[in-house]
Amino acid sequence: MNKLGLIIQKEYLGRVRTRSFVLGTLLGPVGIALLMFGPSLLAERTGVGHQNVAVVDPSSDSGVILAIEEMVDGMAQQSEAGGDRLPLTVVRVDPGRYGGDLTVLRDSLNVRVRSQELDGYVILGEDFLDSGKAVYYGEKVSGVIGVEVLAKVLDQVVQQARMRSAGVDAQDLASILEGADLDLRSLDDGDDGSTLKGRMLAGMTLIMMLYFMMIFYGQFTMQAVIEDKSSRVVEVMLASVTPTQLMAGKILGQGLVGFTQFGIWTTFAAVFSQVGGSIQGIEVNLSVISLDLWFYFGVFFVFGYLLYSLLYAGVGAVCSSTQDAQQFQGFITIMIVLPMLLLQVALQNPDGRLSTGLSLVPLFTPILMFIRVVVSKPPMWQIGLSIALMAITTVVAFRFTGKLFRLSILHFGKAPSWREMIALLRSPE
Amino acid sequence: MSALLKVCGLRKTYGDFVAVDGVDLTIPRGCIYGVLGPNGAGKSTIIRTIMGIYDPDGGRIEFDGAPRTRASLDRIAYLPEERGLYKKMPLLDHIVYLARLKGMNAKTARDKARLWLERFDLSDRAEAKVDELSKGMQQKAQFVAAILPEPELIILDEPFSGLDPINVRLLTDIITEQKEKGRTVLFSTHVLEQAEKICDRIFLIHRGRKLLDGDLSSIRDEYPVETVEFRGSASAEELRQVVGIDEVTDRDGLFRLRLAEGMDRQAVLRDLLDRGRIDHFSAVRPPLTEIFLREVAACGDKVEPHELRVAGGAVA
Repeated sequence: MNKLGLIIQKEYLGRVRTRSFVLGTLLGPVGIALLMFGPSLLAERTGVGHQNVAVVDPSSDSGVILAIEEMVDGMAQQSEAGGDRLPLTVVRVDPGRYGGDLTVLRDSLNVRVRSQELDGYVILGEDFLDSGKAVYYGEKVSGVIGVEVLAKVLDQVVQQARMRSAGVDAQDLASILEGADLDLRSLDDGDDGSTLKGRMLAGMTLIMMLYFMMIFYGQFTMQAVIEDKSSRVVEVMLASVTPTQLMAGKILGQGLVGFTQFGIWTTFAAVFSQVGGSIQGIEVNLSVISLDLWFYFGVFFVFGYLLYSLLYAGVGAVCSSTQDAQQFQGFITIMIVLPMLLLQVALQNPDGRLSTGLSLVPLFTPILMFIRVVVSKPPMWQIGLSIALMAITTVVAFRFTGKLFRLSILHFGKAPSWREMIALLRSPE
Repeated sequence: MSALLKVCGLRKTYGDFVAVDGVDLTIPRGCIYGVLGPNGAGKSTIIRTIMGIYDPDGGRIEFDGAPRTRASLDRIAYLPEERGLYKKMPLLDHIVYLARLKGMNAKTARDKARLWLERFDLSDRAEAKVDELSKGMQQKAQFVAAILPEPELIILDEPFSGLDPINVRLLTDIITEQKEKGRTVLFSTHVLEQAEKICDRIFLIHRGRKLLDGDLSSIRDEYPVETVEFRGSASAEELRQVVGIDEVTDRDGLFRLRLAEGMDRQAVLRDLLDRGRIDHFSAVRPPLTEIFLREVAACGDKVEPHELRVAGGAVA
């Protein structure tokens, strides 16, 4: 094996075998799984999915209760037809049995709630159809889906009563209240139901991967370089390899580690999406990512990492400790974070002048050009230009970082100031 | 003997500071060469330039009859003065890694490394991570890593510093052994007594300039003997009365006598014979330290003797 290969192998195995890498790689999918399956699992386990609720009308006018029951029955039949179960059962309570004494009635209902027979009860207000006021009492008042259904039912009962008194035909009501159903589809989306929303969610996931790769693995590279310096092993290394080999070995080795980790995570995400996980109700489906999107992701992933790891490695070469590296490192990190903050601009107007300009800045290209490709269809020449500029910048960074390695990898002691750093970059070799 | 390494007119500056000023150095094959001088004399700079770690500002370096290239570095072992290994790497893996970077094949490197670790009493730590080892162990490990690829030239920068007497002995033995196997050793030290024991040739450097260079015994022959050792019936008091003896030091009955300049020691011996019994009388060759101090003085400078042995003080 040649020397570069040996360094890459050492860097790769050195990190892949660490406990933190193994844990991080395993915990990643656990996190993704929690995000995708957690909410629905949580709902099933705690059983908040269905509620038995008693409805009491102290005015003893059974008309309102009947209207409510009728509507709930209708909804239950509809749900059943769709293979679901309405998460609500209304339990009738006759206030007459308690002699109209609301306190006695509530005491009795409280006992039934505590004994889990009921999840809660609703007491309608005076002149409910006019005032629309009602109170729900229960042990739990959040995450109760059934009660949310009941709230809608009460809404409609009140609305119907008011419309009747205003002379609107009750039969027309349902059709009047029927809402619109807007489905967002971009021209590139297939008719198989893949929506822009799903595509965007998948795109954002990929952007997070780009971001983490650049910021974390870039910094890992810097730390690997600093480790060589702070342990002084660098002098032994340089007796066998050139500074450029050392630099390239570090960058490629750490890069492969990142590639491995993200590869494992993507595989897990693909498997999860096959078994139907969803994030915040939106189905995650990696198949909505088209082949060309994967291609651009690959290009931006590789160049984004190379560019930033070169910059980080350059900082590592001139600094003898992580503390010394702080000031320069912060500057590079800002360059990665900034496009994340500008994502909103690109999302709102992906082909606007500002978005276009920013996406052509090589340091911003990986994130901003990629989001544009996800949500819009930028002209080919813009994509090509951005990749070309990024490639040129990477080559320039390679030369400068290589120079920093040759000039200062053996320079121990205090970190240079910005001015010294610039002088170093401009000095002849 | 043909020269394995040749350095001509080497010059290296750091800003205004001239670290090495026109040094010539020729290292014949199969010898042990000591580069000697106080701290800051320029020893490490010369070595780093030979190793291609620094680019010289002037002069040229030849290895095996041709200009030294990156490829020739694979034939040169190097132990830097600043020791360092990857802390989280297992010892054996680390040694093998460094040997492979010098072009050695993985299996050979692993087999040989085990043998060396055994000799250095480190076999049971082969799988331990470097930062679980003591400083001394790390230093031995680094020495093993340097000589493992069996290079033609072995360059050691201050190899003895920080080692206990037992390990100094072990290292000295191995260096001598390497020479017997036909390899060439170049090492630097500021502990001159160390060099005296094993060097065939020495190179004395002070403030970036060469003071002395050549075969150790012939250098010594050039210096007049001014001290003799004496044991016999005469007392210190009597010895002081002998014409030509400037100074008398008593070391448990063994006297060190410093002779006046230009004094013939045969004359002193005759005088002593007249005064009584003589058990022991021998000329003392000047120690390297003294030669060095004299050379420095000759060029109008002054070096405190302690400068020649700080940091390496553990040496017995």
